[in-house]
Amino acid sequence: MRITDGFRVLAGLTAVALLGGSTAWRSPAATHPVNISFWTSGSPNGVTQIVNQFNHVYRNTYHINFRAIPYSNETTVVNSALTAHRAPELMEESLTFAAPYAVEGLELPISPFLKMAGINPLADFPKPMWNLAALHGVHYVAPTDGLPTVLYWNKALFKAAGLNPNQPPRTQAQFVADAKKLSQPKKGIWGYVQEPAWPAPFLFPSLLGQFGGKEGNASTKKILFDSPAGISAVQFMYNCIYKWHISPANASGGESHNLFYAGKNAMMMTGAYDYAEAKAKLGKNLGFATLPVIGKKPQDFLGQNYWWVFKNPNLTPKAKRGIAMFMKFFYNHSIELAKAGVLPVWQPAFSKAAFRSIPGFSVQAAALQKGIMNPLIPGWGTAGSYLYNAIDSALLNKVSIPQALKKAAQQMEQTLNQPQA
Amino acid sequence: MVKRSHWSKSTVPVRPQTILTRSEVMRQLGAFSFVLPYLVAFALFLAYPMVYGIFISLHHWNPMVGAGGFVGLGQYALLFNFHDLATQTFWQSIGNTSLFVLISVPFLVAVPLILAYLIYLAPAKGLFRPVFFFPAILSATSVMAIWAWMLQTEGGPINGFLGLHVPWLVRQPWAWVSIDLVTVWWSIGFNLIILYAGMTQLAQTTFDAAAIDGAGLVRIFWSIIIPQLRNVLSVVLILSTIASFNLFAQPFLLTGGGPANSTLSISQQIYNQGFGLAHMGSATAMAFFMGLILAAVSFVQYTFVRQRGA
Repeated sequence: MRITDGFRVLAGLTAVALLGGSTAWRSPAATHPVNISFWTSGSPNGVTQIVNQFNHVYRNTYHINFRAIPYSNETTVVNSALTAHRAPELMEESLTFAAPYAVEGLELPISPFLKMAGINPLADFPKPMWNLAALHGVHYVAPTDGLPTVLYWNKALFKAAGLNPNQPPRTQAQFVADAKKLSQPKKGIWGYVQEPAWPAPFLFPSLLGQFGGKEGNASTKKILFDSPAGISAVQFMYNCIYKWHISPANASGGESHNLFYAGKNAMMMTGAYDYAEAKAKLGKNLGFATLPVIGKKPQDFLGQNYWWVFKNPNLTPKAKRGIAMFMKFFYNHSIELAKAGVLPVWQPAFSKAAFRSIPGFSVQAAALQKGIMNPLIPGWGTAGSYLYNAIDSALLNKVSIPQALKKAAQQMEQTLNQPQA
Repeated sequence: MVKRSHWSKSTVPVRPQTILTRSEVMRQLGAFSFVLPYLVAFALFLAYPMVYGIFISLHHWNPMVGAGGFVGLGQYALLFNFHDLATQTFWQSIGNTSLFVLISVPFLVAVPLILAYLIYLAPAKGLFRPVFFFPAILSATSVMAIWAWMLQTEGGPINGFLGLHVPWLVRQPWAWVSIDLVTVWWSIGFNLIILYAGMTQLAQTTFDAAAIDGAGLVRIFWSIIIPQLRNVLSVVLILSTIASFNLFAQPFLLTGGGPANSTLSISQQIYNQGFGLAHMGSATAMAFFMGLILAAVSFVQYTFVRQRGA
């Protein structure tokens, strides 16, 4: 052996000894926190801060690997991860996406985690968000945030029409009467803009619920919206355009919002997701309230996010405890979500002054209590296009409302009951 | 006397069978190494997914849990079961997409061809080429968001400018007109650059001779440019047809496939079937069926253009 070779061997051994020694010097707890992967397709605003705080507080025991996946591509990303056995332990998406995974037996029941965390779901979450999220009697998911359907109005237009800017309509009659006073078609100003398509996925279920109807039965996969309540809901939208003339005909997607921001649409009934932008555009002229009762009782559709734990044979009891701890930590730090403009669903937070002082949140918190959601049937989101095509056709005056809803119900039922292909 | 063929063994020198020398082997390996990266990429990202796709299309396949039972050609047979709603929607989407191909491809070839000629004649070529190419570098979402706003019925700038109330995105035939208009605006840049490059390769002397013979700009365009660009035009035609068959973003983001599924494209239906309803087996069969249609259409186009040129 040459001298240089001997030197290389010695240097290598020294390096190995140093590296090995360096890990041995640290405490095992410090070097090996349990990693928990957590993905969301919802807004990462606020969540990132909570994750960072958790990772700091529990730095010696747990580490949350947080990843925000694109909302438009979530199914592809999550399904690819599942088939490659690289799915996250904890997943947050909207409720519709939870159903197929639960049906395929890929999710763990959530109640043991909530129990471990000391969370009482009946008291700590808004009742509709917990009660409507069971599949065949089992809860696989827990809510993380909500997005109710609400009423926006332009106070300046109300004032100009001789209406009280601080008194929004609370009934169908008031809504129509106010909208008639607000509409000046020759000036391009409308009391309300009913689009044939979007935001019908928020408004139609809200009105259907208000008239006492349901979209479907998750257990039997029976479609129920082709009912008198469903017809009344679409009839209201139709009348806004063709009977009362408070809305223009042929409005395209997004037009309701754009005209509202431009001061040419006085009222919008849509998801609370527009609040920040509407506030920025209208400032003190923005009015924001729960939906008026167009039907017989107050109800509003909830957009939302839920989380669940994917089944994973490598999930240790310690990791399960970590997930439960993170859930509790997340809910206890709900104010971070609220500050970021996301509505948390943690009942104990709603009474706190810090939460109530955030503009618009008290209205949304109240709306959560009357919330309804789509039935938990796999494929509902995609099959729902038949319903919205039907509403579209009815609002374009191409087909009668009962006929449109009946055909859509048949198509959806066939699609949702189709065997695996 | 026996006539000997000119190519008989006795007159044609035959190259003796030789063993490759080491340097020849190294040279050939060197040449092969240039192709190797592409071969690896081809095998990994094209050949393997395609073979795997065929495998999926022969099974019931849930993207969440993988393969179900083997069904042979059952998924392909299902594409002709017209009692099935997914099949009905699939054929409706084929009809929609074929209509789009018919109304978009002529514009996607003719408009860039005319523009390329005008740029070819114009003094400030360096200014016009990037201007017309610019939309092609924009993302689909941003392009569609801008056009969705511009084409709004009530408050859209286009209706405002025209003083009309055209329901561009919510009623037919306007929905197709809008999708076609946006597609041409968005994607003419690529075809324009290809056609312009083809024009620069044509001999200037031909144009000069034609001009001396009294041919005007229109005559030169019809009688010299178009015939001589035939091969380039056939490439542009086939690429435009394939791109139009792959229609997705425009109806998805502008009309949502409406009104009443009338702008639902094949790609969108495949996406809905595979990712929305988790029927990946039938979605893959639809995709291969669409591939067959594309191959057949491209073959016919290519053969037709070549025969016309012969």
